[in-house]
Amino acid sequence: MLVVSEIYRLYAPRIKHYIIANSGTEDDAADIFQEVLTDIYLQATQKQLELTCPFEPFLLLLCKRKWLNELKKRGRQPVTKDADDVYIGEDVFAQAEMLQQQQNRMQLFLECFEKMGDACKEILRCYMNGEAQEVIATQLNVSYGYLRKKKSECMAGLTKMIYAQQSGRNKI
Amino acid sequence: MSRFTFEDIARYASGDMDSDELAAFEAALATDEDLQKKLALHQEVHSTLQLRFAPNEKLQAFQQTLRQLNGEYFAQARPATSPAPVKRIRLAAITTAAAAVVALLIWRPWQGGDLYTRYASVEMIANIERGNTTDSLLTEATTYFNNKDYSNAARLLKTITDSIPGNSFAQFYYALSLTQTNQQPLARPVLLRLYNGTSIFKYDAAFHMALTYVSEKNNTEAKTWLGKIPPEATIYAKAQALLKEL
Repeated sequence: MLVVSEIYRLYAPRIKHYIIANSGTEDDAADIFQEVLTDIYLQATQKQLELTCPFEPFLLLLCKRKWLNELKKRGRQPVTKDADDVYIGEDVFAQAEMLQQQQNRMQLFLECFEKMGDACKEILRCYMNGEAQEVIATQLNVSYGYLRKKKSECMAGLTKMIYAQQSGRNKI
Repeated sequence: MSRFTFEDIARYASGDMDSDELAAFEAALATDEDLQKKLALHQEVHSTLQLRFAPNEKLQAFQQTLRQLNGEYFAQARPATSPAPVKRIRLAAITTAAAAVVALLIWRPWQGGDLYTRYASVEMIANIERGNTTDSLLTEATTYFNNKDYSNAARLLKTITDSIPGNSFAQFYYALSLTQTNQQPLARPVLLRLYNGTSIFKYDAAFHMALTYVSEKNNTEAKTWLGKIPPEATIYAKAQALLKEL
């Protein structure tokens, strides 16, 4: 984790300065920094994110956007005191946009999941947890055959709901 | 438009197709762009859910490192040795709040009706597997239940629970049919058995047990039952929303 320490050493003070200059606290800065690094980690490990732009402006842009969103959620008018003197090129905006779209997509999937019935959510949760299906069937007190059938029905229902939402959005 | 449904896609992805179906599906997949897109979406949704729900030790270790570094680089942040209790509480609060919002959107308690009516409304999901006598009864019971003919639903569900006492699905909806016909004293032992068991309906049973007391204006007992539902239960957000209203 030497790389992570180096990222903190190089960029944490800058993010802290920016967030405090824009109505935040040091605690807010810690949260934003941690959340952005986690987002990048997840995209890199699960979605094969490959950075094709400089890391520093990319990180700063993501932190800045996340903080502005947080301010909006808190009902505060975002101010734009730019504490950074880093040039943010088009490639950085494009890559940040890509990451944002990936996150929006994941968000949509999870929102649709939450709209499903309790039984489906429970089955998919257990299934995704990686346990053997026989064990899940016993835990949920259903037969193995029923579990397999229901799991397919639930996944189909979820994918169908997401597909419909995406199709609806594309038509707009 | 593909002739294969989303359910076919799910069965294909799970390896549940027989050889003839599989051959037909893969033949279509080779040329059918719509099917290819839907399969890709299925796989993406599957991997997103895995990412969300599967234990990820590497991610946990990474986040622990971040918390430690936060303690070093941000003066007000939590100390490095602590697993960030403040953050955890805050995250839990945010999660609970988000879940409560989802719950509110789903149940729309502002849409009128008394507390019991607003929270007790549940749809029965058909639970059919083999097409035998029990399944025929379940199908019929589901229709009655979803048409709010709870007396007939209760009659059929009782037949099933009498013949298959371990059928928690039938037990749960039997209890709900009883509560909907104001037979709380009969419903409670069924709900209690479910709560004391390990089935998928354990905490839903606790929630509906609470509702039996709400219907009798016994808020103290209702709150006690709602308090038995842990945050990880899927019914938790709904339970918390009800608790707030009591």
